[in-house]
Amino acid sequence: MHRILIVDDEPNIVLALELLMKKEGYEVHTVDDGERAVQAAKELRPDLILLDIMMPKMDGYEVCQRIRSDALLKDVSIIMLTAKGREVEREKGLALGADHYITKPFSTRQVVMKVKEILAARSDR
Amino acid sequence: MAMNLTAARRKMFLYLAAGGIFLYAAVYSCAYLLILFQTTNPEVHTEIYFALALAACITAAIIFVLSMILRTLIFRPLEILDREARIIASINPGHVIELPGNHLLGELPKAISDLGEAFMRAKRETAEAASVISSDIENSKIHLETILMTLREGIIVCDERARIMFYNAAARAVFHENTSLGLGRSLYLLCMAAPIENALALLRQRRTRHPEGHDTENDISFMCSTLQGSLINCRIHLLPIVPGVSWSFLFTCEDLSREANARERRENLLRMTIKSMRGPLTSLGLNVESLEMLPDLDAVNRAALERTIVSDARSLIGQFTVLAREIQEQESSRYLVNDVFSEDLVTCVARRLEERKIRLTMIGAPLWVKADIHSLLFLLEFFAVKLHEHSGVDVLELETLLGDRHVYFNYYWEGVEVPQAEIGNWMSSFREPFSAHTVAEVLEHIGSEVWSKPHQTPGFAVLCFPVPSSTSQWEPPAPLLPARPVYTDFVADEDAAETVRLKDLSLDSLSFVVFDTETTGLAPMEGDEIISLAGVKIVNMGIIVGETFDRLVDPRRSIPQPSIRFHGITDAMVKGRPHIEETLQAFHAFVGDSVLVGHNAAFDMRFLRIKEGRAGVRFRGPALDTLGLSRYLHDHTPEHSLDAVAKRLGVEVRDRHTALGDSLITAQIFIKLLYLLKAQGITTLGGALEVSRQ
Repeated sequence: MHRILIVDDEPNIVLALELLMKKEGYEVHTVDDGERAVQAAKELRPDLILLDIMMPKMDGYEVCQRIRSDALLKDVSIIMLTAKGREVEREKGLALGADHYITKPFSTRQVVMKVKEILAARSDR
Repeated sequence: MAMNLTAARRKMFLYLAAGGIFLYAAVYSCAYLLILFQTTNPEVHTEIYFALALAACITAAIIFVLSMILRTLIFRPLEILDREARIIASINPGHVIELPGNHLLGELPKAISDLGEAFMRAKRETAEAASVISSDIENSKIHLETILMTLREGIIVCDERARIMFYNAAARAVFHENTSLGLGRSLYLLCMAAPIENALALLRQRRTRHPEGHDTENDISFMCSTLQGSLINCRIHLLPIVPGVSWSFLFTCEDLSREANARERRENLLRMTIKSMRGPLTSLGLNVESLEMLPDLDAVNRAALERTIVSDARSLIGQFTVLAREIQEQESSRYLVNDVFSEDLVTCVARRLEERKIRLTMIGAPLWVKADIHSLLFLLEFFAVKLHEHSGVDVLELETLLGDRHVYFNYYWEGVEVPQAEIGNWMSSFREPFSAHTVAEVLEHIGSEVWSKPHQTPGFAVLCFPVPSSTSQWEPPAPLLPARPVYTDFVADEDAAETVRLKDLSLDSLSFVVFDTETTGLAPMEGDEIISLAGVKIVNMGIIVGETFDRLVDPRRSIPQPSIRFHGITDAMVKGRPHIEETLQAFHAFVGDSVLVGHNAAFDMRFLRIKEGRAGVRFRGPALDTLGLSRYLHDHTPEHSLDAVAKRLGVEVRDRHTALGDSLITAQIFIKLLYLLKAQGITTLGGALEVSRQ
């Protein structure tokens, strides 16, 4: 069973995503700020992280960069789910190591499809 | 003076005659008395009478011969000298005096020539001094004109009747190269008259109330639409009244269409989005509340409700996405951005960094970006300095890479990438000690982000920030500014002319058209036709360089060989040209109220008059003949061909035997003849016509 870590400081969104992922049969963990996200990632070693950018204390970009700089976490797939919709922000995210970038508001179907796609690719590796 | 000479001559002759008669009377009386005292023989008396009669005849003959000698050797040369001196004095100081060989004037001609030379020298020195001053003025003028031509604001100067006296290139652009925009044309051919006239009336009213009012009270801004339908922002500024200058008001304009369109688009978008979002938002709210209020709803209805909620949500998300994207696209055009070449920026920054002992080298091909230059320069320098502090390196490389819509400024250095946390610290520092903006805000302002990551080559790192790309990447450079404008600073007063009879008009005030024709031959009544017609306008005793008439005419017949040899116009050159009727109509429009002038004008006028009927035009009044004027003014010589007169008056001869060339020569000659006529006291058109016919 794939392990998914959801990082977002907005409870409504976390709730919705959690239900969704659980429904698909994934093991879900949630965190609501950046510092704890890095810690949780190191402890849990999830297969995929759904990462929001706009968070207090440590933003998603930093989380992503730190996770990527950790040798043990190199293989974690990261999908950025964020309200930062500008092209330059998307490029920054991808440049810092995200595998995919989805802007809010998004459709759940979109997220589910992407998650499935990425996890399938991981299995093939 | 000529009058005086003739009078002097007459007086001299009278003195001589009187002297002669007196002498004769004296001799006769003496002889008579002697004889009377000596003899009373009648035969001797007859002989004595005969001898006395003979003496009388001889005396008369001597008087006659003397007067002829005086005339040839003194009076005639004096007359000629007088005229030559006048030429030297008024129009051609370099003129060489031509006197017939024998004269008793001694060194007088040479003395006058020397005077002429001295005069010419003095004139030249004055002219040189004046040209130094005038070249300064000319330089200032060139500077001002250049400034006016480079302004992006359209500028049009008008006279009291809203006729255009001056305009710059930007004005042409604002009116989209409308051909109605031209010198002397009315401003109301371009814009609605009403708002402009209202503004002028208001400003003039203000001026009469406060003649010494501040400059700011002399203008009014408003928006108006052009007759082509675009919206412009304009300002009318009343110019101070300067006697002799006809500039009345300044009309400046800016094309608002593009900006107005963008604003309109954004407003429309917002309006439409709000309108279309109301529906789904309302139903979403209702349905969600229903779900809340009816927990025991049956499955079917519940499903239906849920489906509606989903569809409403999707619709809202869709509209929001569109709106967000549109707004984002319009964001960059809001700020005052410029197209700038990355090489120019980097060179500038590199020079500044040298002072801090940081070497910044540009690699790769430079690109065009569209951004606020000031912010961009700041960021480039800021990041370089920060990287130097972070990694300790003195050497940085900068490359620009082209993406879809952005150009990426990449710094490369030997070391590790900068952690986001540190970049975060950089972002919160202030741009300048007393600035209100943080670095983050500056980045935001140019629509950018910054990040750092390891370079492909191990041991090196990258710092990257994107900047919107510019279309100058692919567009050709803007066209050169057009040449300096020719503008007019006079106004012909048309109203006064109507009330005064032609002949009493002063030559100074008239406008003339000096014209010349080339024809197939010399006999207009026997089928010779005009093949070239040219005219040059003279106003205020000066040639108007920008307004000439020069047309070839299809004569509907072949041009004879000897004629071609004379003027060089062949059948091929006139084929397809307009016919004489059309050309005469255009020429008539060109001439308007001006007086026609020509060298041997009668010849050319004959050709014109024959075709007047067919062309449906009529050329007013007699034409002035420069040949006649020259004959009158310089009757001491028979040389009055165009070449001879030109040489005498110091006019350069160019393009001889072309209609336009000859017209120009004749025009310059005419102006000089006018000055000579003025010196002789002939100042009206009637006077000139009269003397030219003698």
